[in-house]
This record gives sequence, C-alpha cells and structure tokens, in this order.
Amino acid sequence: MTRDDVIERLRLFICHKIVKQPNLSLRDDEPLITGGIMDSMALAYLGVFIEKEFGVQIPDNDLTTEAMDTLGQMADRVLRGVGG
Amino acid sequence: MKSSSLDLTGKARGNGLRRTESKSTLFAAIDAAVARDATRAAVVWIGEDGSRASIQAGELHRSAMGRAHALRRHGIASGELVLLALPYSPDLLSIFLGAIYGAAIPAILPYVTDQAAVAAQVERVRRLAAAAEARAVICPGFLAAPLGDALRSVCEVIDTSMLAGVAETWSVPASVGQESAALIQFTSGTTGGQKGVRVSHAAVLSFLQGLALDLEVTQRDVIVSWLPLYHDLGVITGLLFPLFQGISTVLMSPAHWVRAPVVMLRAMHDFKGTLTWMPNFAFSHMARTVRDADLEGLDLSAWRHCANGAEPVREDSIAAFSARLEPCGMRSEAIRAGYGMAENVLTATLSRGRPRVDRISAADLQTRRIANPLPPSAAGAVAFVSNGSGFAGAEVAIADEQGRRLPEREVGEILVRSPHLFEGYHLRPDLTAAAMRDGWFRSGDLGYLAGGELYICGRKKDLIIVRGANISPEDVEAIADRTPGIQAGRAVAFGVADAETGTERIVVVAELREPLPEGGAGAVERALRKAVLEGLGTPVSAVRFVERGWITKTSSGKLPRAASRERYLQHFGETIGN
Repeated sequence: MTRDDVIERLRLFICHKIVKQPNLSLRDDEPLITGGIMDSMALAYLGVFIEKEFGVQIPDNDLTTEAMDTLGQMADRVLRGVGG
Repeated sequence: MKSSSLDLTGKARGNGLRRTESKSTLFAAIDAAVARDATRAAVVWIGEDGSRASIQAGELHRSAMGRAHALRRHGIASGELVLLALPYSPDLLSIFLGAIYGAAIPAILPYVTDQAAVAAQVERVRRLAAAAEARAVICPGFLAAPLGDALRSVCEVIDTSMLAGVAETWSVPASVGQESAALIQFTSGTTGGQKGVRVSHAAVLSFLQGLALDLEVTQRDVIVSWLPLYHDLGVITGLLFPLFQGISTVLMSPAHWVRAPVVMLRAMHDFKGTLTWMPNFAFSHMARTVRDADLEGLDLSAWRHCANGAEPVREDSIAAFSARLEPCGMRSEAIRAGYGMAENVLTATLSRGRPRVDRISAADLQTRRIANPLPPSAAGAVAFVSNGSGFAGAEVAIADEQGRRLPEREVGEILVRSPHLFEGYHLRPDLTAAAMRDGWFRSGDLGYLAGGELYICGRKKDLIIVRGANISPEDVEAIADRTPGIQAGRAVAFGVADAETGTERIVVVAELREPLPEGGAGAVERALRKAVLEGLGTPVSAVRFVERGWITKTSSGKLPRAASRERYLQHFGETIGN
C-alpha cells in the first residue's frame, strides 16, 4: 500500500461521506479542519473509518487538528500504524 | 473495569431531597445547598489527559464568592453585563458563578481553542461587546492583549489572573432580587441579529425546581456532561442544576468528548451516572464512533434519564444509540425527547420515556398543513418524533398566524407559556414585543399536537440548526457575498438534514461573478469555507457553484431558500452518500 493509495482512499471517504460533495478537489497538503472543510466531529468518524479500512487504531489523543489537518498527515499517520 | 477511587459523597450526607423551598436568588439557593453539605464533590473534572479532580461544594462556593468580591473591586456593578470569553476550565465555573451571585450579569461566549482563529474570535467578541454594551470582557491572559487592543473604545478587558482569591462570605447587593436578570444567553449569529435572552433569578429557580420535581432527584443522582457551558443546555443542566440540588456533576470538555465519546460512557460507569442531556447529533456520534472493545465491561444500568434536545430529535439516532448501549445495561426507556428554548430557561416539553413516533402523510402535511396519520407500511409517510407534553409547569399551544388556537393535528406556530419565561431580549424591547402575544412566547417553530404531545415539523424562519447551535442563513450568505469571485446577492444557504450525523449540514449554492478557469472555483470555494469557519465557528458541508440565473429571487427580492433547497436536492442530492 503506497502513500498515494492511502491518500486516495481517505480522499474518497472525506468527499463522499463527510463533505458529501463528490466533485470536491482536495490537495494532499491542504488544511481540512482549519480550512473549514471538515470538523473535529468528522475526524472522530474518520478514525473509525481508518480502523476498519486499514486496520490501524489511532489513539483518541492523536485525533487532533494539529496532527490530522491534511490528507498527507493522515496518510503518514496511517502508514506509521501499518508499519508498527 | 475498576471503579473510580473518587468518592462523590461528603462526610455529612444530606438527608435526601430538597423540594420547593423558595429562595429569592441563585446565590441564596446555592448557599443553602452548600450549607447542607460542603464537603461532597460538587464537580468532578475530567481533564483532557484523563485526570480526574474533585472540587468540593464548599471549595467551589468560596472560590465563586472570591470572584464576586473581585468583580466588585474592579468597579463592576451588579446589573452590568460581563462577557466570559474563557476556555472550558474550573476558572470558567467559578467566575460565572461569582457573577451570577449578583456581582454582574454574565454571558458565556463560545470559545475557540484553535490558535489560528484568535483574530476571528477577537472580532466576534468585539462586535458582540459593542452591540450588547458590555461592561467588561473576561478572558485568559494570552487573549488580554489582542482583546484589549480591539476593545479599547468599547469596554474593559479583564484577565482572569486579576480575579483571583477566595472568600468565606458574600452578600447579594440590595439592588439584586428575584426579578433581576441572572444571566444572558446569546443566540449565535454575526450580522447584528444576535439576541441576548435575559432570564431572571426567579425564572431560573422556577425551572430548576420544576426539573427536580419531574426527575424525582435524590442524593444518589449523578450528572455527567460534556456540553459546552456557553449553550443553555450545558450551563443549566451541567452546572446550575446540580449545584442547586446538591448533587454531583461530572464534567469533561466538549472537545475531549468529540474526540473520544467513550470518556463520557466511562464516567457514567465509574460514577454510576444517572442523568444526562445531549443534542440529537451526540446520539449519532456516539453510536458510530464508540468502539465495541471500549464498551466491554461497562455497566450503564444506573442511567435513568437520557434527554435528547436542542435540535430536532431523530428516530434513527435514538435507535442506533440504544442498540449500541443496551448490551451495557442502558435502558431504552431512559431516553426522552425534549423541546425548549433559552426564552423558557430550557425545556418546555419532554416525553415520558422513549418518545412515540408519528407517521403521517407527507402530502397532507405539505399541502393542507394537517398531520394525517398513516399505517406504518404506507407509502408517502413522513415520521416525526414526539417531544412529549408540557414540562415543569410549561404549557404549549399551536396557533395560526392570527394567534387563533388550532385543534390537534393541525400545523401552526408553537407557543409556550410558563412560570419561567424570559424577561426580554437584551436592549431589544422591539424584538421582545414581537416575540410575545398575550403572555405566550412565539417560538417561530412549526408543529402540531397529537394525543396532547408535541411534534415539531419545521420552522417559520429559515434557521439552520447544526449540533444544537442556531445558524442564520443570512450570516452564511453575508460571508459568501464578501467572498471574492462570488456574485454578491447571489448566494443562498440552507440546512439539509443528515441521517448519518443526526444533525443538519450547511449547504451553500452560489453564482460566480464570471466563469473561472479550471481550478479557479476551487480557490473561491476554499476562501468561502475558511471564512465561514472563522466567522461562524462551523464548517460548510457542500458548496455548489451554479450558472447565472439558477437562483431566482422572489418578486420581493428575497432569496428563495426553500425553493433553492428543493432544487439543490433534485440536482445534486442523488449523489449524496453514494
């Protein structure tokens, strides 16, 4: 699983299930929470998705705006979990 | 799971229930409750790091009295408005209480922790302080400088460190009586439409007494709350009610709960929590984010009152929640649906046990404004959840535009009358007069009565309710109008109910000033999203740019929100959730 694969799966989930705007284009380094695209409530939901989709459990304390604001940050966090 | 080491009961146990002792002010009522048992844990504070600290009733009371004296030393008079721009913290509790003890009239403001949003927060506070003629804004140290600059010509800014100290006694100023305003609850909004709901000591006490009687509260009851204290539901049920009643409240920050809703369930287990209040979205959020593994070993059987209110109650949210928690002993009958508003202190109606669901004809509702029941399997049905009947002395009625009462199953405006209605909107007697008719409060919500129970089915105003917070579409549209690239006056905002999150999503449809090259709309969209988040504290869900002429104004020049919403759902709705 490459970083790009992870980003693509996260992107699809966020566009379809969170923002509910499938045509939304999101850059990998774009701030999603501080940019007003999704909120911390959605981040908790994303945590559940990541656990099911990638088998990576992200501790609640890591589900923060600082640590998970961009697709890139999210993907890196997922890949760290897969490796560890 | 091991049970908590924190003992909630003090050495001198109170001997049961307090009923209808009439105390003239909140200070007198809380002082009496503290005098019965000063050593019990009034508040258990769950920190973001999971730490648990217990604050004894006497300790909190002395701290609040110290704040009251400090406010007075600052030259603040009892009838003056102080805005509390404070993070969720024990400081917020004691400063709010100190003010409410009669030193000032407090209003708690939404607080954004995100550092990047400081400028936006300062601007929100400045506008409100100016419009509401606040005497002072109380804030944490790091906000004192930026707020002080912004508010130089508006009002004083007081850093919490200047309000330190405890006191053993406090005497309520002679000018403060039961009819004096105890607190002001501001509705959300930015464009001057923010209303400050003033409620008196007598109104708050009347509601708290009614609540205690309805719930048959005993000393064994424990409240668990993560609600923001700037929301009436949070401050009344999470703080004032337990202090008034002499029972314990277990508090955690909203941000903590959002990230880890299981923290609330663990607190319910550890402290044998019995009473909770939450908006509908919380039922959905917990049902879909709590892990199965986290539920193992939890005993939620003490949970006897689980109220759902502050936004439309959904059957699917309640069903999903109770399906997840019933294996932990949570009783589905504990779930109650309620309807209320700050103008009535809080709850106006509440269901007895799990609310009934009424299935009615969507066509009859739409065209004849009649709630015509349909059999469960019939096509064309729309379901509404009962919000119960009049609560704590409140009555509800349904009226037409002329104020004439409508019979059961006819849809009209919901009116509320109670012993604890508000005294008026702060500095806005015109709005107060418009909201009242013959002693009844006109809610602006649409509903019907059936079997004596209230069903809510819409609003007269185009209000969007996101997670219990009211958002005016005008505010969102004003931000869109200022966003470069969007044709001014050609943006419309509305709410769309969302089954997954159990609340409404904000949708914006806008016409662009001119067609933009590839990627251009993306930049406009990004600017709009960021501006809405900073201006209103809530993100927009979907943003759609449409061709010129898509949004057709009515002959009176009004934006057609309802029609645009229908059109949006037809054009774009098919893709939702796919």
